[in-house]
Amino acid sequence: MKILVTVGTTPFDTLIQFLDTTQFNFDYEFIFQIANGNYIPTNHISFQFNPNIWEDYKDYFVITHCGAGSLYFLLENNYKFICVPNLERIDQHQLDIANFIKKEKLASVATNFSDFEQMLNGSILSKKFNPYIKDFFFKEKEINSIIKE
Amino acid sequence: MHKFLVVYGEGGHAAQMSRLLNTLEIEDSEIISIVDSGELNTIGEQIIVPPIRNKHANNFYQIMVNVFINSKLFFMVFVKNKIKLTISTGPGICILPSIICRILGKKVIFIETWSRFETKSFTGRVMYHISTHFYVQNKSLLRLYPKATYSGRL
Repeated sequence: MKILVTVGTTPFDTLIQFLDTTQFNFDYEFIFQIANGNYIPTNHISFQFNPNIWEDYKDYFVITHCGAGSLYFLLENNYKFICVPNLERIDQHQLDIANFIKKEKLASVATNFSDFEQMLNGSILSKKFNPYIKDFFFKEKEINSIIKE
Repeated sequence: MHKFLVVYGEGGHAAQMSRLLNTLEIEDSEIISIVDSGELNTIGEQIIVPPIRNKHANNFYQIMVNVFINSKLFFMVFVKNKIKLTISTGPGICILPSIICRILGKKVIFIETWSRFETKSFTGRVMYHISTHFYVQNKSLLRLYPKATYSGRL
């Protein structure tokens, strides 16, 4: 299995280091997007940023930080993924959306790195999740009229 | 010609602003973008400012220096251009221009981040009291921000 691990704009060194240095009991290949992280993977390929990341790695299974931009993109495009709240940040706000994903059963949420062994070795690709039903933004007319006042 | 400021940061803040601008009729508008990173593609004139708070550090002295630098910059932007509105999706770099905007009697639209469901963001907590129009993208936030308007999700 080819797996893209992405951390968005904020480094998440402990996640990258854990996945880079852990031996899992199945056939896999990681590619890491690490932002400006200090830990540089030694066992797998890595890069800092790629604006075309979703196009370039569209065949990959995704492990992502719980940044809302990444999560909503993946949900809107029906990806299967594992998400991990980045608790290295000074604010812990990724837990909020992680709890939402978990409660609504939209994807797998790894709150402990020890969860990966079971998640990745199990039948993650055949696991069923609830569909993401989006309540679309509907205030554009109101904002247009404020702009034109 | 409608002239307004949009203020946003990198990552999810930029994604939300991009989605918002795509829904709006802005062909007749002149937009000045205040952002915290030169990596962002912006519409109109771009002004890059240092973020008031850093994701990894929260040093009081650095915050005060950034407040002073940004205040001076924003005031000049408002004086030079006849700005009638500020729109922001966060982060905290929007607080100062929003205060200046309100002092000058103009409107401020703030959209609380889509990543909050059960907690307030720092910026949302402040902007709830500064903005003239405060929107939330998740219904659960109406419990925390009773005067907010639910907008649906960008």
